[in-house]
Amino acid sequence: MIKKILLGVLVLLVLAIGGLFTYFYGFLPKSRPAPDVKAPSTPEAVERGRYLAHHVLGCAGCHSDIDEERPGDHVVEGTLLSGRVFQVPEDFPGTLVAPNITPDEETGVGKWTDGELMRAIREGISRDGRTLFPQMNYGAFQHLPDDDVLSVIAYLRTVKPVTRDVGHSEITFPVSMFIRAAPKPVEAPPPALPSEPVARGELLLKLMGCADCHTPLERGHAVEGMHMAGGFCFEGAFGKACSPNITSHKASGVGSMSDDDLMRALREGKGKDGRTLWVMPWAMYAGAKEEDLRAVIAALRQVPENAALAPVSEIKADYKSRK
Amino acid sequence: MWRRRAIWLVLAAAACRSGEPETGRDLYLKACARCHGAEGQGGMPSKPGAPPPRDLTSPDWHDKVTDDQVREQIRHGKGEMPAFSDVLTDSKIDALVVYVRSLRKEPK
Repeated sequence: MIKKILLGVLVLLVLAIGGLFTYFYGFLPKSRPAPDVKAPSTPEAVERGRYLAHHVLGCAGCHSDIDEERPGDHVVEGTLLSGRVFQVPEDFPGTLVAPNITPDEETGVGKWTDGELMRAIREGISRDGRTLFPQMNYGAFQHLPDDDVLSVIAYLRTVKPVTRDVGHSEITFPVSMFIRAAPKPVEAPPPALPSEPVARGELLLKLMGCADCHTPLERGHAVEGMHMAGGFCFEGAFGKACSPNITSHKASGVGSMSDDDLMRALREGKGKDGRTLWVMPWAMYAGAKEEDLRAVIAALRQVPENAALAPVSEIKADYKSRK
Repeated sequence: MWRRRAIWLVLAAAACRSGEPETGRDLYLKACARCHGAEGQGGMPSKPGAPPPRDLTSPDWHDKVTDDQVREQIRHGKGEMPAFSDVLTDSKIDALVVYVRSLRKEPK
């Protein structure tokens, strides 16, 4: 009798594992052929794409080397968009690389079609069908209107090609299997960015990935009820920088800070007490349009209050005055 | 901003948590330093002409206020300073008052 039960359990287990593998490898990632599109080449489109890539979407921040000796995420000269190999914790499942996206034909995206780039940016599928690791913010970029994505591609086509082979991410099992659930085809053309400040700001918060740093994670998932409540600490040569609570709570968040206070943090990397902010990529936001940053601030005012006090940054003395 | 940071911190976040009891300094750094500075030196005004967050090292200020007044200000806020009564318990506010008093710096 016991043998029969054990056999039954074993059969169920095999069926469950088989079903899991069939689902992830047979039905995922959800993808479609790259669309047949052509990026414009007008100066206006290129400038719009440059703006988005540098000051909103963070393309330059991830796909370039960053000067870790300075605050604000300044791009190392000569590496713009030519890729970056991230330093990851020892137990990270594999390697993490933001590939070279300059027009270099051998090591960059020079041979990619505009449609392949569009699909990668918004839908998380590489030219060869691979699932992109969701560090690439395609979950938010899927909301980018066609015109804006094509503008980004138009800009990428104008960047100086850099021959630099950084490879691509190699994620190990089982994470490599689970990330296949992340991509999602864009079913219908997303609408233009809203003009109403709060709605525009809410979308910009997603596109800029603010919650990625300002919401604590546990086992790769945002902690429930802690949206934007801060508490991630990043360690580097500079010491330890912890993301603050940016909910609308007056004491623990930014509810009592003025728009000028927040604008100063976003554009100049200065805290309310005048200290320089580390890890926060303010060098990139410095070039963002006033209306976009005002919209971001308007949206932050709507983030539900959370009273959690975030941990404290500890910046080494010789890094505090760096610019 | 960038998602890479979320990944870095899967591990690093654990290092930020501590089981040690919070001292007055810990509480100050978490609740007050963001506006008044890590050393109590004060901060930047919210807008041109507005009073900046107070310099908590000023002997003049320390001479002027009582512990009860400091306690009440932390609890209920004053001017642009928010109330911390829903964030800090009375015993934590007491510990903060003691620490704030230690920030006083006499002129050289």
